[in-house]
Amino acid sequence: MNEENWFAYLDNVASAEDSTIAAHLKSCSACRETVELMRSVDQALLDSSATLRAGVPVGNPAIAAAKEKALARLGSHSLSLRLGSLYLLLAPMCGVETSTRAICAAAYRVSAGSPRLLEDRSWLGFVEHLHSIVATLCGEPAAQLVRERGMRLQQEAA
Amino acid sequence: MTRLTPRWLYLVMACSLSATAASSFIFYSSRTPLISLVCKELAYGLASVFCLQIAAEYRRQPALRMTWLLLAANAIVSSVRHALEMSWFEQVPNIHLLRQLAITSALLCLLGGMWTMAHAFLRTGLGFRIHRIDVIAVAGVFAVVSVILFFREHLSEANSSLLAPLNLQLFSQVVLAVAAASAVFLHRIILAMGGGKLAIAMRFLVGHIVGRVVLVLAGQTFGLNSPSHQSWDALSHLAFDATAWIFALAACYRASMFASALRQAPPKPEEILALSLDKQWSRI
Repeated sequence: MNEENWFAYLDNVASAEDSTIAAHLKSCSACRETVELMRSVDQALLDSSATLRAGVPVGNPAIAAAKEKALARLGSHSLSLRLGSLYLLLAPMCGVETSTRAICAAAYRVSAGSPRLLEDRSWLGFVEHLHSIVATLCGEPAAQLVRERGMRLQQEAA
Repeated sequence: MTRLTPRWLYLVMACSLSATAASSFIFYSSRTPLISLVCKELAYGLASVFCLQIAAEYRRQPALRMTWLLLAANAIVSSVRHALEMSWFEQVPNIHLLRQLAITSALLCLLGGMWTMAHAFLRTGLGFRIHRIDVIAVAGVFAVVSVILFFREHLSEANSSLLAPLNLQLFSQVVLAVAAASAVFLHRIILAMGGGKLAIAMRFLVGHIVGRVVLVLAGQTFGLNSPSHQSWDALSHLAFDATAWIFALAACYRASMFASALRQAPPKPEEILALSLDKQWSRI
């Protein structure tokens, strides 16, 4: 299974590896969480795009202007996008599975049970727990980077 | 030291190993042990600096701080150990005992470092689990060590008039076996990580231990340490140099992790949105 197969699976494009991926997802909770996280990001994008398109008059300049406006409004509001941003920061350091596990563990520690159930008010607690996990795995400077990014995402959303 | 990236270290390693190889296999120089020693001292010196730098990153995590301090101690003691192997020290009283003390201390530091690291990672509660195949691999490692201990007449200290160096050497074989067994568990954690710089660093650490185990196994089980095996002697210089550099690479990858994370800062959410929006647009 390569990256393209995974992307095809996430985009619901049929490929020969679909059954292999589905079988793997049944047994691997970390990958299942990643797929769910990616799908929630995807859904957030779809919803945003749908909102955007519905309110846009015909014509490219208008679309571009509306896009800018919508992007400014959406910013970092979506929790899925914030999680995605932290995930993209962590993955090159700790690996994709460790990053997913760390995000899930931090979400679990703030009683969210899963990153999908995370709420805006528990975001800072989540970031603190993620900071402590990353500090153990990757050291204090990397953990500080995660905390700063988490805080900034929160500020941008506020 | 932040400027010394893994890429630069690969270059230094290539130059160093080429110098030892050329001295051994092209010029048949009598200075090969000296060149090899310089290479090892350089590798372990760099590794110890990297390890101390990493230890400083763990201000509030005593276990991980201890891990990297122990690994730094392993690098420092290993460099002393290789220096003691030189013929200059042959006349020093109790040199065999000193050598075995250095070897055993370095291995104990390495083992302690790996244990504290594995323990701290398992304590994070990220769900890293040991598989049945790992237990089988550990059993295999202990079987191999049993072979080494069975053929202990090939150990370099087997004919020593003193009992202490031989006992220390036997003990160091057991410590090496436990380190190799710990490497199996560490390897399981690496597999569960799914890539990343940390996994690369840990993979090199495991490679360093495997290299040491293979060298000890080859040298002592098949009696290659005797003076009659000149070609093994040349090869072992090169192989021990390589294991020292592998350890330095492990520390370098780990030390450069934060710097590369800063360089490869991920896009902001709005940038992710902007990049993906056109693609999503066509799907509505």
